[in-house]
Amino acid sequence: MATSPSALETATGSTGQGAIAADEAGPLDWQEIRGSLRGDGEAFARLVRRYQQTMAAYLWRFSRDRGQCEELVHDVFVEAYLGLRNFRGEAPLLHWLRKIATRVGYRYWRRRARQRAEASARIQEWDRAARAEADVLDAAEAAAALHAVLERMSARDRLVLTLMYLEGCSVAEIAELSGWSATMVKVQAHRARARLKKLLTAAEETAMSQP
Amino acid sequence: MNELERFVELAIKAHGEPAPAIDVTARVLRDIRQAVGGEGINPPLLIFSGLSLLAASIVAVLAIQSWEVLADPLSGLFDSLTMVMQ
Repeated sequence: MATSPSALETATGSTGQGAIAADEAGPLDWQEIRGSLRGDGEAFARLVRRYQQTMAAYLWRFSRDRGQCEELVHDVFVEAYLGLRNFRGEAPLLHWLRKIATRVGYRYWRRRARQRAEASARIQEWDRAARAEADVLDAAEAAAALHAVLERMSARDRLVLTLMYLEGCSVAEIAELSGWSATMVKVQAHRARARLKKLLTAAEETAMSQP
Repeated sequence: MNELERFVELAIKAHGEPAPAIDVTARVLRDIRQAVGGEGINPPLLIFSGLSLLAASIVAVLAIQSWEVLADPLSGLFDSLTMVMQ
């Protein structure tokens, strides 16, 4: 990266000395972080290569369109770079990246909220999955069915259900990723499950009333 | 099995779904380079700063000129009295 150290320091603040604890960030990550803050583009490139596939797997829950998923992953790393001086090293870098990714993904869902289909419309992927035997479906088909259902829900409901069931996160983990309190996560999960049940019941009734 | 239970069952199955392989490294570095290296002189801000400096200079010149011709504010009063007494 042909970026002068002064321009980089302007964008990312100080060199970060004292802001990152080496024993928390992991020695390799810590080296790349310090290098990135000094203006070493290759150091940040190593971080991107190290974590981009993990971010892709996470953001695949937010969009099953390859191009859009790439866009989201890209946004995560750009935001991470611009906020790198704020990384305190109290938790592993991956946890910090997942928080950014959650924010990026949630923002994406909120932007798409207007395009949500009517809740009572037939959800064909769900119809097929609901009728198939469990061992017939592979992971991708199962995920596609769930995605078809979840994209009919609000961004807030979708986030808590995705993190709770698709990512297997605990209430505490969801609270950390979303920035919500644990109480809010529990309340949100309860409401989201109720709305999900209503949505699936309506979809089932629609399916039964149509040939 | 109700719908929610089916949902949970499918979610467990979906845990193992692989994501497509992607590589955003080059694009990220390019966009960061533009975001960080692209900050330079802002022409509108420069023009506004120049105009402000010009206005301040004019005020300063007028203020200095006024200071140079500034007389004792009470001198006019005493001049009139002196004339009368004479």
